[in-house]
Amino acid sequence: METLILILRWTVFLLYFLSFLFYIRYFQKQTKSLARPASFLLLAGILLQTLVIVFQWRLEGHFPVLSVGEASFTWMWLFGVLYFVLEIRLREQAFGIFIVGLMTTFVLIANVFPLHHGPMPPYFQDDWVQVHVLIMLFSYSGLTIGFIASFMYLSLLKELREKNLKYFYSRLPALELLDRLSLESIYIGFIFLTVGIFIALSLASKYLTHVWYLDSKILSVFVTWLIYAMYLSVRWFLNWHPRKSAYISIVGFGWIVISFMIFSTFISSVHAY
Amino acid sequence: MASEIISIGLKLPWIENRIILKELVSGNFREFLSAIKRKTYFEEAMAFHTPYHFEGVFVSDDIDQTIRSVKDVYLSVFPVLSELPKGVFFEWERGESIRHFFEVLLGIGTPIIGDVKFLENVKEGYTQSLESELTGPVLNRLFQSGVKFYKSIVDDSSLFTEAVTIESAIVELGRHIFGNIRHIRLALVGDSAEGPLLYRYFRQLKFKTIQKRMLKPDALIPETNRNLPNETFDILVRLEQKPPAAAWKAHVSEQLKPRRGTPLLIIDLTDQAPEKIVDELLFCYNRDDLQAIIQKNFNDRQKEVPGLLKRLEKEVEEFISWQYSRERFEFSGIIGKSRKLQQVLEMIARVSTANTTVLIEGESGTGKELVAKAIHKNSPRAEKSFIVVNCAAISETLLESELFGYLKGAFTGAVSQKKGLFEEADQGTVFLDEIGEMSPATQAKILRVIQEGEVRRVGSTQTIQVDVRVIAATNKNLKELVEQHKFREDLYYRLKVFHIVVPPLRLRKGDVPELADYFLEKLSQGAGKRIVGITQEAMALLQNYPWPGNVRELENAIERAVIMTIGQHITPTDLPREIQFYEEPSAQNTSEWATLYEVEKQHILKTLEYYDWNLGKVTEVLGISRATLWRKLKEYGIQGKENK
Repeated sequence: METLILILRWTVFLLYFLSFLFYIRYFQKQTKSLARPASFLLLAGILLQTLVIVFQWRLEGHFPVLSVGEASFTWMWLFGVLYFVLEIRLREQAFGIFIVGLMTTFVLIANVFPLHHGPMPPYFQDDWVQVHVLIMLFSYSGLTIGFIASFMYLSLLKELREKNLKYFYSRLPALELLDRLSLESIYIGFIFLTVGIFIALSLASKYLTHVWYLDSKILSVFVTWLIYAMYLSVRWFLNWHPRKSAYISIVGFGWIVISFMIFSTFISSVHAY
Repeated sequence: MASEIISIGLKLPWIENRIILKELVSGNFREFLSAIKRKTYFEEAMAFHTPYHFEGVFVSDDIDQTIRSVKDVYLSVFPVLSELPKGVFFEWERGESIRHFFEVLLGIGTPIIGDVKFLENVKEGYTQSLESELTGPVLNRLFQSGVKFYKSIVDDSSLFTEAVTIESAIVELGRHIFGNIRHIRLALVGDSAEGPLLYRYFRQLKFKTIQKRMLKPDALIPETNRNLPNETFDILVRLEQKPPAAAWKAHVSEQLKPRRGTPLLIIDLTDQAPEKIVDELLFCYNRDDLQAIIQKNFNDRQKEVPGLLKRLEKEVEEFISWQYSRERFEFSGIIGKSRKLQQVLEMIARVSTANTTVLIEGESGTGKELVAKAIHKNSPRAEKSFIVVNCAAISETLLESELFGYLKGAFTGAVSQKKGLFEEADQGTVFLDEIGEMSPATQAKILRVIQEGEVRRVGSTQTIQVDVRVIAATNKNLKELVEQHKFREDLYYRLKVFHIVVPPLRLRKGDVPELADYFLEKLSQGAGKRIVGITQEAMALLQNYPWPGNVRELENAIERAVIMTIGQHITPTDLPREIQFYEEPSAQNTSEWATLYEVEKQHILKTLEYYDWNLGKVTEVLGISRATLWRKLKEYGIQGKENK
């Protein structure tokens, strides 16, 4: 069984990788005949990944979110679904190169990390814990797309401002669209982050000891929440230029990645990651 | 001799020469076309002009003759050309010419490579040539495959949609900043020489709003709706540096105030040093910046050229292989090289691409259905259905329910509803054979289908929209039927929009051997026999017979012979009796009569005189091709009028 799952996980990686190659080529060449296979391979990857996750879920009785490896895998799945919906809605495939590039990298990392072994922590019996993890992962997906859109916004803005229209100008979507996209996806990500934290708060008193709020991971999530709250308030209340808020989005994402890496490896926490 | 494609036109540096360009533009293109028709030697021709080309494409079996006569026409219609040095023309032949045509469509070698203007201009020239009856199957096909090639290239790569002119660069910049232009509000500020042109260009696009703002001493006031407060815009195109710097700055900051993060794009076309206004939300572009965009787009396209040329090479090869293929002459099973049949094929090629109704007339057995099928197969509807309805074979009431369908309970036996053939054939072609047999009531309904594209099922009150092409055929004289009030006059004229007469076999006996061989091969394979050929004696009999039943009778005769024969060859005894023992009505002694040679020469001369040497008219009247006429003139030593 384990080998079968392993083979399937690597197949998912392979599909994403191929799709990534097509997205790169499409980004360079801008020919529609390259865009179609890219999307098709991505869809095939997402479908297969869905199958793997359902398979693991049935087999082990819980969502594959127990270890860093499992969680990254599931995260990339949510991320892929979210992006695919966006791609169809916006009819814009220019982000593909960044998104699918990220997916390929993370699925590779997930596959290298060992699968979860040993007994399941008792609190994982509670469905709400799994819901909490999924909601958090979904929120991170939104925030990541927000980061990518912000990054593209800044690249395009730089070219337009310097009147040095080159690579990004003929390949990226419109500046305004990128701004709206980052605002909206961060908005969605923020809502899910808030809901995820609320669920966590109600669960905390049930499973954790009295000083749970000093746990490093929990603190780091609060910081994340604060950063994105700031992003949204400067946009709404202070009417900042999108360029400045884009930097906040990039800082926020940087913080998420750093806290993921540091807290899951160096500092012990009630969270596995 | 096989016919070749040739292009003859003016070289690019000459086209770009201002004086010549002026002459060419002012010169009447129609006049040029009609001079081509009257004075040059060719089988097929088309001419077109774009901002960078002025040329003609010809199909001819005598290249030198064509080149010489076409150049004469150029020089006579545009006298300015004769003052230029010798190298004003270029000539491409065969593959070179085909490649050149595709390059023209894509604008390769010009500064606006890939612009849709080239396709539009060539199409215009082609349409005019088509209307002047200059084109034929080869050039029709060349044009169609050129359009297909252009579309496949341009649809595939977004690099070809980017701007190559100042006005489109403005739109493109706006699109890259604001997205869909439906949401963009644009204002033209002031006025200049290019103002009206820009306004017209922007008007035909779907901007959210477009305004012209005129300049008053100290403020910008919209030309219309003077009382409205200042509106907010996304793009300001500045044409005049009129309002003093202070007023302009005030206006810009006015524009910037109500924004929540949306940028403002100012396009400065004043060609003077712009006032320095710095704001986070402001993008200022002037003419040089737009030129840089155009240059960048041009470089992007230029990079694609090697790839394009490779694809083009494949397209050229495909075209050449079609041009020299056997199928071209067989045209979906229609066989024969006689002039009469080639004329029919030419008409098929011409009418296929149009969407008109076609009436095919011809004796029974001449292959009217094959003609209809060939039209369908060569039309854009080729992939859709082709439905044959024989109006004589079905009873009147049944015909109606077959054609239009019926609702449940519309008549006894209608137990469920059924789609009619017209609905089935939606987007395809319906072939109505023996249309002369149709009752006037059904004829009225057919007319409705042709005119309005509407059908109504039997027993239904609702009309359904269908898109079908109707091809009708008859072996009767419809005009007589109209006179006898058996056929509706309006339908007759509607069908006659384009009409093809399929010649009976006796008028194209030259095709008999080829047809006989074709049927022999097909039928002997079907019968599982190995029959090598037809003996000379048998073939002579076949060619002698008048074939009242036309091609179908020939096919039946061969089928019978294939069954009867015991050897590897068809001999006279294998043929049906009526062919074996057919005797021509005896001919008279004609020794004192003039020879055919003499009669023909006199007749041609008389016609030439009558029509004042208008070769186009003469070929039409005599029913021979231009090439044949030229050959005969040479043969009889008849000199052209000009040379006398």
